[in-house]
Amino acid sequence: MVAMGTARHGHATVVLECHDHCKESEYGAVEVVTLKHSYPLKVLVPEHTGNPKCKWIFPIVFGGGLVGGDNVEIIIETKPNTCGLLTSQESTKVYHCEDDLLTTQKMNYIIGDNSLLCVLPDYCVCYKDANFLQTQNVQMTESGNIILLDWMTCGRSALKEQWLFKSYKNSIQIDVGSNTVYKDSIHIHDVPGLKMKSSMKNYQVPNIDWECYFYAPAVGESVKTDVICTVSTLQKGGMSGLYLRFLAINTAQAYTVIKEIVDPLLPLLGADPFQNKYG
Amino acid sequence: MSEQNELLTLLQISDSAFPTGGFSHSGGVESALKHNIVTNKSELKDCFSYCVENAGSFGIPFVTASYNACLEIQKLVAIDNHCDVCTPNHVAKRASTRQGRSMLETCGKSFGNSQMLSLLDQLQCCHLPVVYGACCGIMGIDIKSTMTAFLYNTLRSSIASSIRLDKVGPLEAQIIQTNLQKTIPDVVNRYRYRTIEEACIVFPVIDLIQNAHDNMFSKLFYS
Repeated sequence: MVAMGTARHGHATVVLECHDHCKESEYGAVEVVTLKHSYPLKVLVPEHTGNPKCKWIFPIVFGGGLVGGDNVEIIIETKPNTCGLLTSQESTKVYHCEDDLLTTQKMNYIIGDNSLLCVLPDYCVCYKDANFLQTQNVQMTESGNIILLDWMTCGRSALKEQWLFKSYKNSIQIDVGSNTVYKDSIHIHDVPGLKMKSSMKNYQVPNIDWECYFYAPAVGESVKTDVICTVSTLQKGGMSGLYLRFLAINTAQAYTVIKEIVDPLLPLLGADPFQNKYG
Repeated sequence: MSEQNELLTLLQISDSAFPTGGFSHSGGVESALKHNIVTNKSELKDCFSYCVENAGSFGIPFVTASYNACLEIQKLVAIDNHCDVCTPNHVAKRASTRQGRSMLETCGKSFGNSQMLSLLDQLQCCHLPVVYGACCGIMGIDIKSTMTAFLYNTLRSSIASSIRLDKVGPLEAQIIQTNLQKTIPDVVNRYRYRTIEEACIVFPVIDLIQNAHDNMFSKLFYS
């Protein structure tokens, strides 16, 4: 039994490899060659999920979420010509932190030649007084591909718990070889005289970062204010990508944008990881 | 540099007559108004404060780093490139590099400084915080004054844009400026020791809404 507040350190590693001889531009039949996890983390990799060329990976945490002071670290590696999907069964809950405790989650994605990693988790929700630090580092080769979704909500809005977490720090960095091609860091918290709650207006799902490398879906301009979507192209050292963010009043509105990106991927993924979740 | 000369230089580069192109940028204010993120005066004032806080949390580390490396070209190039990597928002990138390039050129020419003019060729992006720190460092302006002036400029430019968008009058704008700039010393203190690896955005909504600038059909500002 682990009491609330007791620090837990969980590690997980998943390595995907392709064993058949496929063309350079294709994904081969994928196999899990390494699967390690330690308490409180557990990683599920179902045998059959639609497409044998795409492996679905579900990390889960005992206790239904990250307890104050938890430190978890996950490494996902896709070897050449493999395709993987990192997703979740439900939202990532970050529970309150007592005193100066900090909850951390570190994700490392290592992406080989001609491989694709789709990171399509459910949103992250920070409870009142949560103190959360998330770092996501991507190490990829020039012919690697990543689609990374990162989204959060204001908290448990049904309990009127909106923007009451202590601090939410999130940093995403993409390195190609030894060059950093992308870095996005935010630190949402109250500063003297300025409340994060008022800065968010009535938006509950802000700061959704998508980094899609080598992937360019058609996204129309949005003039509605229930969901505001922005797109920037990224060009660095021969790599090209798309940086898409949106701000939505609820998860259903956010999903209208997510759906546009995920739909064209469905034949590759074999099924929709968000099916029946957000309408 | 003597105290008086330092003051004169600072006055000159902070003057709205100093052509760095700051007045063609609203720092996200125009987009926030059009997207109904800002609907009243109180929200407008908060919006200015968010701009200043983000300029502090994200910009000040770059100002400090380039100030300290102002004589080392290779380091400045690396800082400038890192700033570019950390600015995926293309509207913010456009605002920062356009103003940075103009500032470097204007400073180089008006102070007859060949070092600054040569930086124009060497820096690949010329991001404003990097250029601001480097220019002030080269001219020997005190670091604290540099940071304060940098944040003052951010605040002044965003308030000025709202005058031209007809949201506040010129006198009212100065009252707002007086009230809001009182927080600048605190913002400087919060971020003055941050490294460029720690540079981050504290109020993502204003940054995101600035990113939506190009979604607007008609606009007055470049960003």
